[in-house]
Order: sequence, then C-alpha cells, then structure tokens
Amino acid sequence: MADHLEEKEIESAVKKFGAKKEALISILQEIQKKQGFLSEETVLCLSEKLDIPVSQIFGVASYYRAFSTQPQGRHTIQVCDGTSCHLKGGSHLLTRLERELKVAEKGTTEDLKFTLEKVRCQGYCHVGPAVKIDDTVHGSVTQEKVVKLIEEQK
Amino acid sequence: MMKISTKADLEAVREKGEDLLYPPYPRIMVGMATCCIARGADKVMSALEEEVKKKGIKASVVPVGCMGLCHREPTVGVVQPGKPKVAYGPVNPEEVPDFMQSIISEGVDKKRALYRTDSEYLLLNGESYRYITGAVPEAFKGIPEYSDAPFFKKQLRVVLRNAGYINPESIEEYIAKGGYGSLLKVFQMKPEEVIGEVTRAGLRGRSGGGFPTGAKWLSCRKAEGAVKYVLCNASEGDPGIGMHKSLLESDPHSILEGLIIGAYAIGAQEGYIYISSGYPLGMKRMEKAVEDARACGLLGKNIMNSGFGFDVTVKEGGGAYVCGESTALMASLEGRIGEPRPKYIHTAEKGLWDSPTDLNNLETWANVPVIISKGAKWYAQIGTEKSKGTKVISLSGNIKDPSLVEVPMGTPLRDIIEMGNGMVKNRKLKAIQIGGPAGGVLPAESATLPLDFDQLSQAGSNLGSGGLMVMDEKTCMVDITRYFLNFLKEESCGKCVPCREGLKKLIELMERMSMGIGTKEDLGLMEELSLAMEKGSLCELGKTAPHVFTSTLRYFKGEYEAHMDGKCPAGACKDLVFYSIDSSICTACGTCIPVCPVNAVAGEAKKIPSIDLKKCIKCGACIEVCEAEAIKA
Repeated sequence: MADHLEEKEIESAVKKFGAKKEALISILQEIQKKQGFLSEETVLCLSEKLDIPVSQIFGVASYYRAFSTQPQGRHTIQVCDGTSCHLKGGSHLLTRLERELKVAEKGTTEDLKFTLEKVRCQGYCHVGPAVKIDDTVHGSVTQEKVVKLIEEQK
Repeated sequence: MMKISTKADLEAVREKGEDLLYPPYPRIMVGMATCCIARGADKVMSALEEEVKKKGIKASVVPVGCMGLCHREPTVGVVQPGKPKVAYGPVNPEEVPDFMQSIISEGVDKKRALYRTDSEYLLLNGESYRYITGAVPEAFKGIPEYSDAPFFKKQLRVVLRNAGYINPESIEEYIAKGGYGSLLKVFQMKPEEVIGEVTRAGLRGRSGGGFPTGAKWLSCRKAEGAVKYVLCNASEGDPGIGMHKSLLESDPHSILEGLIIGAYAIGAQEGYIYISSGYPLGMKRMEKAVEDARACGLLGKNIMNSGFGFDVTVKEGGGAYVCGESTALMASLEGRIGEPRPKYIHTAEKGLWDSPTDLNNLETWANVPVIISKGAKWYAQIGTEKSKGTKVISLSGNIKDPSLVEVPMGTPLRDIIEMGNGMVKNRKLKAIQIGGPAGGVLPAESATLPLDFDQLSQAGSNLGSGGLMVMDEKTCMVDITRYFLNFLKEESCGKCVPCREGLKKLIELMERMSMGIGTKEDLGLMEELSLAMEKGSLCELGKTAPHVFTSTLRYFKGEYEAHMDGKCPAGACKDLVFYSIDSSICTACGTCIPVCPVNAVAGEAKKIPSIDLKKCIKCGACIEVCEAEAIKA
C-alpha cells in the first residue's frame, strides 16, 4: 500500500477533481506532478478509491505520454524532435545526449540525476532546435551548447 | 469584477480597457508567449519593470501575446501618448537600460526599431485608432510603417486580431478591442439565424478536414438529446505547429467567445476546452479567461440576461497525438484511453457520454466572433470559391525567419515562404511540407499553389492545421518520410490492424531504403500497403499516414532510385554517407576541430583539417558549425 505521505497526496488529488471515473486523467496528472511518477502502490490505492480496475488505470497511465510508471531523475531533459527541430538537427542532439549521459531515450541515469526524453513538438518551432531542461526552454541549441547546458546542471 | 448584462455594461468595461490600452503615460508591451519566453522575454519583462521603477517613470509594463515576429524575439512594443506605436526587437535583457534611456531621451530607440504604427485598424469595430496626433514626429520618420512592411503587407489578421496587442490575461483589454460584442449580438438573433450566418460565411474546420462548420452545428442542433456539449480541440500535436499554442497564449477570450456563441446556436449547456499536455502557459491563460468570463457573468446561468445558460471546463490532455481525433478526444475526456471509434455513429448525435456533441478546433472557434460581428458577406469575400476566410500559418523549417503569419485563403504558398526571408545559409528550396504528418511533401515548383483545402488535397497534400515546413537541399526525402512514419508509429493507438501493422511494415521497408538495400519490389509492396491503410484504417491517423510516402514517391522518385543504388544525394542517411572536407571551400578556421565528440577531426592552426573516417560517427556536429559549408556528407 502507498505510504502515509503518498496516500495523503492521492487523497487530496481525488478530492480536488472528485471521485468520478472521468476525473481519472486529471487525478493522475496531479499525482504525477507531485510524485514525479505513478508507482504501483499509487495505482492500487487509486483503484480502490475510484472503483476502477487496476488494469484500466495502468492502461491509461501507460497510454498517455504525460505519465510515467518509473521514478524520474531530478532533472528532466526533453529534446524536441518535432519536424522543424528535426530538420534543424534535433535528432542529432538526442544522439549526442544519449552518448554524453550514457543513457537511452526515455531512460534515467544511474545516479537518478537526469531523465532523457524525446518530445514531439511543444510549439517551439520558431526557436528550434529546442531542448527543455525542467521548466526552462533553450532555443537554437547546438551540440556544443547542449553539452554545456548539461555541465551546468551537474 | 463587474457583471455584464447590457450594452451599457459592456461599454463601461470597454472604456476601462481603453484606459489600459491607451493610457496617458507610456505602455510598454513585452511579447510573452512561450516561444518568446524561450528567447528570454521573461527576463526582459522583469528588467523593464525594474528599470521603470529605478528611473521613477510612470509607465505600465504588460505582457502581450505573439506578434508573429518570432525571429526578432524578444520583442517589445511601446505606446506613448500622441506618438506612433513602435515595435522593437530583439531587445535582450542586458540591453534594457540602454533601450529605456533612448526611449526616455529621444522617444524612440532607432537601433532596435522594427516597425511603427501611426493608426491601427480595429477589425471588429471597423474603426481606426489613431496613435499620433498631427504629423509623424521627426524622430520616427525613418522607421518603416507597419502596413508597408513586406512581412505584414500580404497578411490579414482576423484570428490573430489581438495577438501581440492585448494582455491575454485582461478581459477588459479584450473587450476594448470589440470583444464579447458578438456574444451580445447573437442573443438578439435566433439560434438558427446564427447557424445560417456561419453557413453563409463558408467557414470550414481549421483542423485539417475542412468540414463546413455551419452544417456541423446544424446537425448537432437537430439531434435529439436533453444534454448537448460543445468542445474545443486545442490538442493537435502536429509536429511543427507552434500556432495553437500561440493563439491560446495570445488571445484566449477570442476562442472562448466563439465557443459560447456556438453553444447558444447549438443549444448546448456544457463545454470543454481540451488542451494538449505540455502547454502549461496556454492552459493557465485559458483558465484565467474562463474564470474572468464567469465573474463577468459571460458564463454561467442566464448569460447577459438572455435566459441562456452555459459553462466551460478546461481540461488538460494526456499527451497523445491521436487525441486530436474527435472520438479519441471524447474518450479521453471521459477518462479513458484515447482510442477512436468507427465513424458510422456520428458524434453530432452520440458523442461525449453518448450525448449530441459538436467539436471544433480552436482556430475555427476564434473565427466565429468575427463572422457575427462583420457579417457572413464580409467574411465570404475573403479567400477562394470554396475556402473562405484566412488561415494562420506556422512557417518554419530551414528558413531564415520562422514566423507566425495569417493570410487570406488563396494566397500562393510562395508568398508565405517569402515572408520567411529566404533559406538558412542561402541553400536552395527543395520541398514544402504542409499539413503535418497527415499532409504530403510537395516539390519546390508547387510553391505556386494557393492556400486552399481542395487544391492542396488534389496535389497530394492537405492543409491540415496549417504548419508550413520549408525544406532545403540537405533534406533527404527518404529520411523525412521515415521520420514522419516513425512519428505516426509511435502515436498510433494500436486499435486497428491496418494502421498498427501497416506502419510497422512501411518503416521496415523504408529502413531498407535508407540503408541502400531497398528494391523495386519493396516500393511496389509499400504502394500496396499504403492503399490498404488508406482504405482500411479506422481513423484519419491511419488513413492519411501513407501520404508522406506516396507524395515523396510521386514527386521525388529519383531520390528513391538513388538510394536503391546506394547513394543518398542529400547526405542524410548515415549508412550511405562519409564525411569529407572540400579543400577548395574550407577557410581553415578550425571551428570544427574542438566540436567533434570523438576527436575524428584533426588539424593544425590555419591548415585544412582532415576527418578520420574510422573514428567518425557521423553525428553532424562539425557540419553544424561550418559556416563555409565545406564539410560534405
């Protein structure tokens, strides 16, 4: 079962959106924001509270890109590979980061410092290629710049 | 906040808004959409606030939306009593003291000035607001007038009427520009008359399908059901579309007003605005808009004393591309996995929770207040015979000045591309991709085609939601096709076999192509697969998925043939290229040496470097920094 603190957060999310089946995605979003990922315990706990089968909650949690079922690193690096960023070398940036951080896309480094993600267009087409580190968007990123950005976080 | 029930109430708020827009002291506006913030607009905003405080000047510093001058960001607009409004950019955070000094001492900063506006046309009122009193002051004369500038000359800003002018979080400023006047007007009309007006205007859905909006509304109005819903789709995750985000962030009330009008016309009591995850600022501004509209009595029971009641919930999506599809979006709103369902059950009759539902895209909704205010006749004179009005276009790709523009339908693609000021590194235009992954890739010659739903679809593409991607000679058609197919494979929900398995097989065959081992038989097989997917897939994602392949094969067959011969003419397919330095072009600047992550580029100062092909991983880092374009792949 989820520990005390987690359960409290789950309860407050359920309270915020109501214990209704249609509120599932909003509730999951709230918990994801608070806890960084959706643990097995969270899903079990929610299943009871909302009276939705565990399989269905896992289905939703694994279907949408906004959710993750694994613990995330302290910093999330999102490399945009939308068309515009792709044309300007976004995929090269991703490959470079995979090399630098020794982690595959969607993976988290061993020290739980970074999670590397590829994203598809977040609307920064005009400043591409774009890399988002936590809440900060960096535009016109080159391979040289991306390595520096990572160093700054270390 | 004041309740708005009558024309007089609206006038009172309008006056308040005008005081904010045109105050008796300077108004400094910072473009604060997400793309602007990515370029440091938030830092510029706080620097300006600080400078104003430090200097003890009376001035307002306000955030506004996107002006479309994405390549000049961070942008700042300054309005001073009696003087022309001037747009400046880029204004970087560290330049703010210098910038403010020029404004204070000379009234203008000539170094950073882009355009000036002497008088501004207010679309909804049909009036002009004159910024200057008397003649243009001497100091402003050298700055080009906004309407003469090539970038704006061919534009017509209907949907983006307020973007970059008003504070998106101020309902007063929206009302000062004529906002919510159309809502007041529709309550004097019968719902059928409102639908008739939208039908006569010839408005078609802006999400790609181009379905007539009036007809869609009418079928939902006629459908039987005690509860009806209207939905706004702000979830199109087409890669390369910055504009949905921009519209949400620049003018949320224009979308909301359209939605309320639609609800009245259809007879809906509840609405949802479904916003893609990853648009936090758009989400925040839309939530604020809904809250303010509710506080003013523009949402809720008995809106403007009309007897009509309606309310809206803003919902954040889970981040799935397929949720841009109507039935998948509704499933997601119900808290389920966003999978589409067969189309023989119409959503106008059985949509959200099996009730009659109308879904339109946010740009479609933002057009509605204009149609009501200016009339169907005015609207229908813009555009082509069957594609009316304007279209917001997000221009990006290998272009110098990526921008957000709005042009009348029928505008040749070439005119839009020209607004981008030429290609990056002056390379040649090779292809145009319009309509996102559902659209096709067109050759450079197609730039003469007009922006028109039907003509673009005849050419093998799709207007889509309006992302125009410009590709240069370094873009490989095999690689870009593989890219789009991969995108769609990742985003396919997996419910129907043609889409799920078809995409997987298409990619396998495309990969063979990019490795140089593809055959003519493979191409035949891919064409057959494409046909099966178009005919057999459940929703538009699968039906349109082969478009990129069929269009590149139609227009760039030679490139497929080259790959079958083991060559990639654009130098993008890693398995087929080797990096080399052209000594006749190389300037021996040495920039490429330190950037190589595997030390494959070696050389001494002022000598042409060499690339060790055994070490080279073809990552593109050296090509990226080479200004002379001497490194060939």
